[in-house]
Amino acid sequence: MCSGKFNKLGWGTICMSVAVALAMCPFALAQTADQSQNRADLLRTQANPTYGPTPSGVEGGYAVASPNDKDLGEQQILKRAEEYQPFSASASTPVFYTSNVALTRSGEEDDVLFAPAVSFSYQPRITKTLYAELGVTQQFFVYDRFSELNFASFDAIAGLAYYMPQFHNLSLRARYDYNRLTDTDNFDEFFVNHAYILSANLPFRIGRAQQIAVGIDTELSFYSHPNAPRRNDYSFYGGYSVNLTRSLSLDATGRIAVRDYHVGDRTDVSEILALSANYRISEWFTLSFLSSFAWNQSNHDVFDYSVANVGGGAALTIRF
Amino acid sequence: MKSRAWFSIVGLSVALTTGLFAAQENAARMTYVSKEVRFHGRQNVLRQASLGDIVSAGVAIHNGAKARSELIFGNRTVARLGANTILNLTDGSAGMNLHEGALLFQIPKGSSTEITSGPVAITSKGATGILERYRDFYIKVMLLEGEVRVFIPGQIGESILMEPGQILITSPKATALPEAADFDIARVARTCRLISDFSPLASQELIALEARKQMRLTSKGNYIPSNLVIFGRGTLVSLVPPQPKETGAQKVRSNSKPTQ
Repeated sequence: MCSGKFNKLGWGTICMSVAVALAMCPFALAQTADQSQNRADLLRTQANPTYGPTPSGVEGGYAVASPNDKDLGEQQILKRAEEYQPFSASASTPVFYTSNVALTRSGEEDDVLFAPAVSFSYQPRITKTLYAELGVTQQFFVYDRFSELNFASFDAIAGLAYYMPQFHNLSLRARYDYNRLTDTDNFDEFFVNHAYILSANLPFRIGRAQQIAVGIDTELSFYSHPNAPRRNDYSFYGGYSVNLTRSLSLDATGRIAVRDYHVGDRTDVSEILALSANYRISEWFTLSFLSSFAWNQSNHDVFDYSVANVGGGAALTIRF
Repeated sequence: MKSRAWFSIVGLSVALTTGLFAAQENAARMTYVSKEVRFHGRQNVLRQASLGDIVSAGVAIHNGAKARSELIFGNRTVARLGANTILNLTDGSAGMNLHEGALLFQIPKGSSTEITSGPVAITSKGATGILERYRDFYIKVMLLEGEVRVFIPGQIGESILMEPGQILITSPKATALPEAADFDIARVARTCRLISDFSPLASQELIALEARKQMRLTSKGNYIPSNLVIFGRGTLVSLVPPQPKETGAQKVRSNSKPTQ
């Protein structure tokens, strides 16, 4: 039913953290790519289609005898034909204040950045619970003061999503992700990464308005250029969302991520908290307040950092 | 001189009655009484209802077996009560609480009405629908035209915006609302005695319009008629053989009585 529906875990919930040490010459190029990779991850929209069963309003088979039946007339039940819309296109225009523009341990500089994004996805239904997922996203990161850090990120994904309604709507995903980072002037590539992403999400619905979800994400890089920033990510998250009204929802997500780098012995652990409020003006237009806070610890102290991103934006989404 | 005095008395009476009726927004006038309909007042006194009686907040209307009644509020909201029904008038604009039985409500566009039954509250600014409650077994809401918000006060997010042709069945002890299902508007409009046994509703055309709209959607395949029917009150779903097609508008019109 809602295969294309993005759950609103918030901007920057998939924050991944690596610090950059410009002093380490052999890794200079790799670190630039790594920084950009992290900034993209910290601020990128997370798109997680969710599906849920639609319980019937009729308690099938439950009968209660009552007098004067004719008062109400005969209620013939109609089945609403399921209208599945596999295509979705979206555009968003978030603006953030960031407290640590270069994700450094010391000498932090703050800035404001504009991160417009467009995406297109196609999720054909293969069986009732199995869907294919194909999508592309292009996002730009444009800084106010530190324009030398501007970059663009392109992602293309292809994968499968499997839903298990009999087990709390557990969803399992396997995807291939192609990520390419470029500058914003000539779109010259400075980093490319190929990875498999495996994830599981287990939602627990509390009434109509609240939901707790736990999940794991695993991103296994099998090729990158340059090679130095190549890494595997393993993360666990827990989230809570509540619909205060039909239009207003609040989301909070906490995540712990472990990043294991292929080159050297570097391993980072990040704690990320993302909070967001979304106000849905119409089916296709949403205004959001977005924030994320990340703390990164590495076995190389130089990569430690903390950052806060606070902002907001508008998003247009159409399904067809 | 004598006739002038009579005119003054009659005029004063009319002014007082209408003024009183207008001032008490939560008051309603009985416009139809059939069989045993009684009022249960604040002082626990029972008395027989009659046509033209004014009922105010705090008074309960008891319909006996086979009884029917209709009342119209100051804001022109119409409430039709089926047999074995107990309805309380509450404070607020056309406020009602259904303890038991069946209620058809017709809220004119622009008026505001809140109806409660057990934990469930219904608000609308223009709708025609049916609410039924049977003891602690179930509460049923059906919407024929307009829009209503069904919610459970105090439960965050337990709110549904119902559209015409939707039916919602829940428990009087519910703390969460289920999803609404869909029903054939035309068939209910044709067979519901709270419609057919009374004069046509002001929203009759709107109901016919929604029935036609639903029929169009059915012919396009957006709705699929099932062989599941609830015959009247209750939640007993019966399996029936498929029926020949008939347009919704025809069904509604064939059932409307001329205006009295």
